[in-house]
Amino acid sequence: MNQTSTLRVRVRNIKDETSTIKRFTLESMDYSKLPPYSGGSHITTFLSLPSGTLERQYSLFNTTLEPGLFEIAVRLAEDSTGGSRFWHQNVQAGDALTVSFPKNYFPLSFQAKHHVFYAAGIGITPFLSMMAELAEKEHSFELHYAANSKEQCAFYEHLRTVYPDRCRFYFSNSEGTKRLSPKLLLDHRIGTHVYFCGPERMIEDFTNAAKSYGYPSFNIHWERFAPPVNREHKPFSVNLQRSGRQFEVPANTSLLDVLRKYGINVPYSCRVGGCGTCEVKVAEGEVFHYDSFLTEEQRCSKGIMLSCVSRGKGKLVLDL
Amino acid sequence: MIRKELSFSKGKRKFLFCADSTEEKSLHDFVHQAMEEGIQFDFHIVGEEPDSFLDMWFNQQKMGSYLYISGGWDFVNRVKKIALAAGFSHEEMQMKVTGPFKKKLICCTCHAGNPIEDEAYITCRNCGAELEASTHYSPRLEAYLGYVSI
Repeated sequence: MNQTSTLRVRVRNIKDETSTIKRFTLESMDYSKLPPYSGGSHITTFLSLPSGTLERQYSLFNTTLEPGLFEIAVRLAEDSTGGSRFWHQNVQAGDALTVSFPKNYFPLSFQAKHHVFYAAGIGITPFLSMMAELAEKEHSFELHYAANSKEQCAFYEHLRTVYPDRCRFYFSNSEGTKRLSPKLLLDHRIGTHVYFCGPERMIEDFTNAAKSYGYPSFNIHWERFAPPVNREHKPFSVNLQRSGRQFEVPANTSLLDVLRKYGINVPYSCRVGGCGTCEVKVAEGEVFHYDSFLTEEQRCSKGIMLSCVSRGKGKLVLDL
Repeated sequence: MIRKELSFSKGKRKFLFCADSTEEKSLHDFVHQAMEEGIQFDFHIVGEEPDSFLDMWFNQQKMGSYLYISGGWDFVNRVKKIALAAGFSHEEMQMKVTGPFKKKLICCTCHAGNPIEDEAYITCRNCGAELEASTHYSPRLEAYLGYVSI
């Protein structure tokens, strides 16, 4: 992604939300208001590491009472590839950072009569801005939020205070509390749109359940914060039809990364198969689609794929 | 989407069948299939009931419900409007109209509304443009777009 449309921000404040989640409040360098954004938006942060620039996406929200600030929450991932570790260990109040303008791949439906959010763990973050927007517009919504415990439940007090009648919490380590179950989907009134954010498995379970209960796909929304688990893990080769170049895509590397490594400037943004920016044309070969963007019809056409997450089987020829 | 023929929608938790007194038979096959598959359903032949009755019926439904409406143009459109207001989307309903359609065609030149039935081509009653009736429907205008006829 090009960095021509970036913002310089300063870290105003860092707060421990839980033992593994930190909240960062960002302000503009000249104390003007940062750009407004819609519920569900995120920013890309560009972190300068000795090994190069690391791009990471985080949902935007603002739990302060002061408009014009950005806030993000970062969970320290056990298998961090650098992003969350850097945020937790290196970023200090007063530091200047580069971030993108807000983007939104997870917008609220404007047709819903009622919105229901299902969050697990750090998956709560996109819903903070969505709920704030709906509350301001006096629209109907509710939140179902699962965490290991009350102590590990980020924004617990904030949510209980600001939306006391609209939040239900589910703590898996506490005895006697109910577990978050897809069966809750059976009880939503007609006109409900549901939104899922959490681990891959949770999104899959809830999406499948909603479809099996007869929800139209149109009413089901989700956001992944990591690429889908790649079950194939097989290398494949790729030929570029126009230039005649040929590359190998190793099992642990994405097609997008390989193309960019060899100087083919495929644009990209979310890197988790959700936005469609990195679409490439397929001339020949079979594709394993792992994105959540293309329609069934587009997949069946066999003419396109998202290079950030989808993979070829054996030998793939691209129209590049 | 208003159809000429209805089809049975798979994977739904409940069906709502709604017909005027002349068209109830057109839904019997679907009621039968719902019974065979053990799917819950309501069936209402709507006569003199006020809108508030339909409004209450639709508002009580859960996600996974699916609505069939069958009858004359005015009946189908009346029920459709109440269902949409309650939260049903076009993905959650099928409609069948018997008798003449009373569509509105918007002139792409002067934006005037023209009443049509099944005509493929008309002359705009406001500006005289030759218009072709498209299937491009605007829910906001409750009308179809009339293209310039070439």
